[in-house]
Amino acid sequence: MICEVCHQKHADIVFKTVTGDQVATKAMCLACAHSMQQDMVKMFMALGFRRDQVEEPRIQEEPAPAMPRYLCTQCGRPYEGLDEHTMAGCAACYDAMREELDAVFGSKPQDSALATEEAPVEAVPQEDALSQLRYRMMEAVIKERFEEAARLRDQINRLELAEGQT
Amino acid sequence: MYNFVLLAEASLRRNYQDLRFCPQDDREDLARSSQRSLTRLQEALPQAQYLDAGGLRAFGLPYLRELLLPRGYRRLEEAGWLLEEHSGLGAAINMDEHIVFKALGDARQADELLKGVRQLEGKALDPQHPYAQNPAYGYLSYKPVLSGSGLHLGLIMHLPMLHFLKQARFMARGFLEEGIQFKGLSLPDGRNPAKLFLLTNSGSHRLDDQAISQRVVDAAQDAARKEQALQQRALNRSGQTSLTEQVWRSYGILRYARRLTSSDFLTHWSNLRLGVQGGILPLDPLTLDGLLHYANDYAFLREGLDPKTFAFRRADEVRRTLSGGI
Repeated sequence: MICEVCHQKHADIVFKTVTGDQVATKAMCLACAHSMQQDMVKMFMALGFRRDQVEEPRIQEEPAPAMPRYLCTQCGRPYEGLDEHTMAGCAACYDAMREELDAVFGSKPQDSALATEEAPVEAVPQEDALSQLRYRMMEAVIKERFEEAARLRDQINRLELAEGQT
Repeated sequence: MYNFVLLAEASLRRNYQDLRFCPQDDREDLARSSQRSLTRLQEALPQAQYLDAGGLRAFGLPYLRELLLPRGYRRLEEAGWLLEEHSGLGAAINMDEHIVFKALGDARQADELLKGVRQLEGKALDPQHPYAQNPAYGYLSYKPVLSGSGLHLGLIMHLPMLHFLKQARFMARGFLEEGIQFKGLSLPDGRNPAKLFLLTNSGSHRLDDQAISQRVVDAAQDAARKEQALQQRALNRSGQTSLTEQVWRSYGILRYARRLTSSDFLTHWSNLRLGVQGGILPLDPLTLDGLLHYANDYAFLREGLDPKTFAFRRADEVRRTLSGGI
């Protein structure tokens, strides 16, 4: 159907007006419909209406929430930083805040009863390696380093596949 | 220093590795944590008195013990408190950490308190439910800055002159640099009528028990020295200073009052204690400190009294103690 106003473009909108028992239709393209709407706005304003009473309010899109700086992969608790008021949701939150904690505490194991002689110094067990990779992948997603996240995802998939075959 | 210390507490803070930490609203994890902790603690301390969340809500705890707990502990779900009176050993369950082992007693026996709380932890440990820990950070706390050995030594001190002269704030800043937390034990309205302060190590990362104990005792001695110096200057035994007058007025009120709110009692008790420390009042310090049993409503709630009568009962007990029943 061709626009009945400009007779050039394709009609996208059909207006139907009902006056009494008489029904009239008019097919218009978007540009002509917009132009007609503006004419109607002018007409109503000429009758004494305000513009905000005639025009539809513009819907403002809410800004997307900012991604937190750190995110715990286990309990989902978000963190922006570490201070005396920061609260951890679970043991895995310490992995999420590792950078900041290392800056505060240092990364050396403690000289206390916790650091036992039996603590292994070789490669991290497979399960821990997977957890670390998952955490790093989540971190990469948060920081919008998507190529790195994809590479880590592929690495995780290979490790899980290898684990499943053993 | 020990003249100014009312109570010492050694505590060990622990969380379970596989459960969410306390401030999370995860009722299932809190219930699991409570059950685990209670089972082991009741085996370790068979004669201990236990108060669950309902009991804490109904009665609360004695005044000095209450001061060592998080504010609002009575509103917590799945919380619990356990204490063996004769040994002073016990624990707080699900109040901030999953479990905080405690040893309460005299500050002169700080080393015994530290030993006692370590032994309690050993008895209550369940190999099937390990505590959350990390080789780099130590035992994990709900507040990461508190992670470490989890050991804290806290002293409740009565420092009225430092409070009067508003020196506590400056002292707190100085102590913070030495790894000591120094804070007033105020009521919910922000006032501190008893002029009590808690002095404790602010963290336990890379500190052994001896180092923590030494650090806290050194800080307490520093605070006590300053308080002593201010008291000697302020208290004039001839009765000419307004502070001496205040001490005697408070004695008169506590000796004869028929109605005492908790806040009134604490204000006058603090003045009395200042008078005893300064040698103005010939009262037994232990008896005076024993009056703190009536500082809050705990003693009266246990008797099932009408709350409208608490202030009158408090005044009756204080008069009876100070004057032999008049």
